[in-house]
Amino acid sequence: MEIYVDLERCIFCRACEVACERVHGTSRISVEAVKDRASVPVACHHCEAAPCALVCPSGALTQEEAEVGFEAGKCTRCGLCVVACPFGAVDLDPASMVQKCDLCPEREVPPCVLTCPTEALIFGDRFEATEELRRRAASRIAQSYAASVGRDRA
Amino acid sequence: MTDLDAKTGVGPIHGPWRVLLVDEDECIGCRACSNLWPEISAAVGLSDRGAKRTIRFPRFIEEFEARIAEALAEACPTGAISFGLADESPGEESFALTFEMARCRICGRPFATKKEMEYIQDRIPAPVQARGSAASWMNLCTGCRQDVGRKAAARGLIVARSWPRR
Repeated sequence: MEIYVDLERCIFCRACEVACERVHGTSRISVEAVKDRASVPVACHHCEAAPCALVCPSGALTQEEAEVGFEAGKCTRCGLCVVACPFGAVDLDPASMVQKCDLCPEREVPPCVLTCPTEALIFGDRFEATEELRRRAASRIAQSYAASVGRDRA
Repeated sequence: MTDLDAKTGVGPIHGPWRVLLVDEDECIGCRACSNLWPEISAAVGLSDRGAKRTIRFPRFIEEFEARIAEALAEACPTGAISFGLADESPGEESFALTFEMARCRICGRPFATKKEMEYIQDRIPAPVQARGSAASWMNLCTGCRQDVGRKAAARGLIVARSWPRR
């Protein structure tokens, strides 16, 4: 399971950040606008062969099939995972603990996904997520086609 | 008496004295020890000769509980920390290790020591390191990695949304 993003739907409201902060105290997802025309949420990608887990010397970050787990009790806060993450999705405040999306294992659906008002965040395995993204893309094409036909007739 | 006590000797008044040793070649300048024990201070300082991180270690660890000393040695990712005995009391003596920092290719901010980068490069498969080919992510700071990723992800969407509306 992982969190996927439908960029077409992200409206830069940052509700996901607020939801994450409410649960964890610090937001582990970060949304920024790109050229005023798009906005992109960034959080842990839960990589296969995750670099953060490969460099973690204490075994706090672990690769579990399609997820990268984090166990705060084992973390020494050395900061190597922060430097190893290709996406800049791991954070270490010197005064606190490593911050990384753990997919909220104690919950059925992560609060960021539940909160997203446009359903831009999709929680599922990669097959479910691509199926949903394909369905949405197809429906957008169908809509714009219908609109252009309507415009020609008018 | 723990193993460590047996190894390092007990007896706080007379020598030999228990001292902290750090292998300069092994230490990569990460923050595991300083985050565990605040008396070890890690600072990123800018000098004329470029960005440096300096970590200062106290030499004398006699007042230490063996438990903490053990945790300190365990936390070190490269096993650079060990304990030795000294005949002379080290008193307030401290020693510092200084590390060259790598700067972000885009914003110029020093973001990791060069030895941390080497440690990481040794452990990440080459194809992952080369992701993004010419614009490799390895020599970027966290923030710039996010920005580069965002721009790449939004490129198609921005083109579509810049199309003149009819």
